[in-house]
Amino acid sequence: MTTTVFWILGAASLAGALGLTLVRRPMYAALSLIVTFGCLGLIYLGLGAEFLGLAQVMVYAGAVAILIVFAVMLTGNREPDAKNVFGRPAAWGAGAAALAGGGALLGALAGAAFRDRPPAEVSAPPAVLGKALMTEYAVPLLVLATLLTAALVGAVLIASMGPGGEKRPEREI
Amino acid sequence: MFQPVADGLKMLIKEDIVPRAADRGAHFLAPLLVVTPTVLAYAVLPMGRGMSAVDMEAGLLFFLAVGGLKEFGFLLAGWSSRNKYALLGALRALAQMISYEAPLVLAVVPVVMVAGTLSLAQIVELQGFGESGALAHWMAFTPWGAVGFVLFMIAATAESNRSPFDMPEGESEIIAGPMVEYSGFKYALFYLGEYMGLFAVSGLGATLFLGGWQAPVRFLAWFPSWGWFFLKLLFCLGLFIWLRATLPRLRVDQLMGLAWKFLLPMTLINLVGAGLWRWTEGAPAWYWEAARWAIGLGLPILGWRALSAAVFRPRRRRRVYRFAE
Repeated sequence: MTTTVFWILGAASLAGALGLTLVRRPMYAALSLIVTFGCLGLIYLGLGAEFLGLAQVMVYAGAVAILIVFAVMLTGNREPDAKNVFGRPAAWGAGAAALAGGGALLGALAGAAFRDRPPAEVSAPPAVLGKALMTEYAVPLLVLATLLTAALVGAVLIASMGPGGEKRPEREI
Repeated sequence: MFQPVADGLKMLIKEDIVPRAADRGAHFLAPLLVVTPTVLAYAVLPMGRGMSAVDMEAGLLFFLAVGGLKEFGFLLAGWSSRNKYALLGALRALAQMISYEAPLVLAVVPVVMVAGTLSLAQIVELQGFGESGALAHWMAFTPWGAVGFVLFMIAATAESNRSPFDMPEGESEIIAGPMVEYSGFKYALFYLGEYMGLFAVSGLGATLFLGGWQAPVRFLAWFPSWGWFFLKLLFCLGLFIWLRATLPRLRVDQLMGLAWKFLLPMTLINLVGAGLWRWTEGAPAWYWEAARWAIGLGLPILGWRALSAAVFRPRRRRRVYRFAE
């Protein structure tokens, strides 16, 4: 991958990420999220990791972005209480998640040795990836799966709440 | 004879109407987001011996990945039109496409498992004649392959929003769904996207299960490879058109029930069948081979009977209809 392509894709993905946080309409936010995910996938493709790049596009740009829009629509647009942000348990949870994520990212970045140029040829065939996931990285995979299940339960709980936070009455459909 | 050409031209030069309340940018972007991935999908289809535009290591994944990008175009079209019917149609389209993507991918997985590769060109190579034998090794000539082909075609019909799964359009209920507020060129682009998607997914079905450009029997191998591919493509397209002419449209809840309660378990059963088939390869005797076929055919049939007994049981209570009073 030439440096020019990398800079263009990197700038586009950063712009998408900025747009995601700055834009107010959820649909535009989702669109910029798709731009970011797509550009990341293209960077993987350019680096020779075909399977990883295409999986990124398929799972994140194709499904996750749309599911996020669905989640926004289902939970209703409750305006956040601007006056007392820290009184809300959700804010504490978000803060803790941001701290943990940022800390992990910083730790990973501090430990990484940046080189001037990427290694000449990277090859990640699907078979190698699959074997690594099922043997060496089996425990992280299971931990991630547990985390996703917990998130799913939380999502169901939030979706079953009414606009004011009380439980919605059961309805006959 | 030139009627289709004239129709197409008329579509392109018709007036383009954008509703006043619509979000102009998103309204413009949506048809492009539907068409572009569909065109991209053709890049990896091998249309003849060595005739694929890009021979990717993960070509199958590329096809499925760009297919997934199409969904957001429908959502954007429905949302940006500022129209109830358009949004309803878009939500239907999304729910349908996300639900049927799972069985579509799972119907394809056995092929990848047996072939051991994600490259479409290599999958077709493997379905050739091998060293000897008059019959080609098409995936559809094995029990799991035949079942997989049927499951794939059902899921593909739903994935490309074709009748009997055309709830997102539903002329009689929600006019034309996400396309209500579109006219002229943009409307033509939606139609182009739908039909090109149909061609692409038929090509994928032919490539994965019907041996791509390989001839079925050895003495017919003189026929050009691209000829075989297009014959199979025509066969799959004919299946789609036949289905559209035969079956009435489903209800939304029936659609979801079919995807999650029937197709998904069936594809998983088929996956087990393909695994058994691969595991018992290399038959020492004829009875071994016969047992293999019996298990391979019996497993999906048993699964089908059990699932349809559990899912499509006739309701005991009579359905009560309430009308607006």
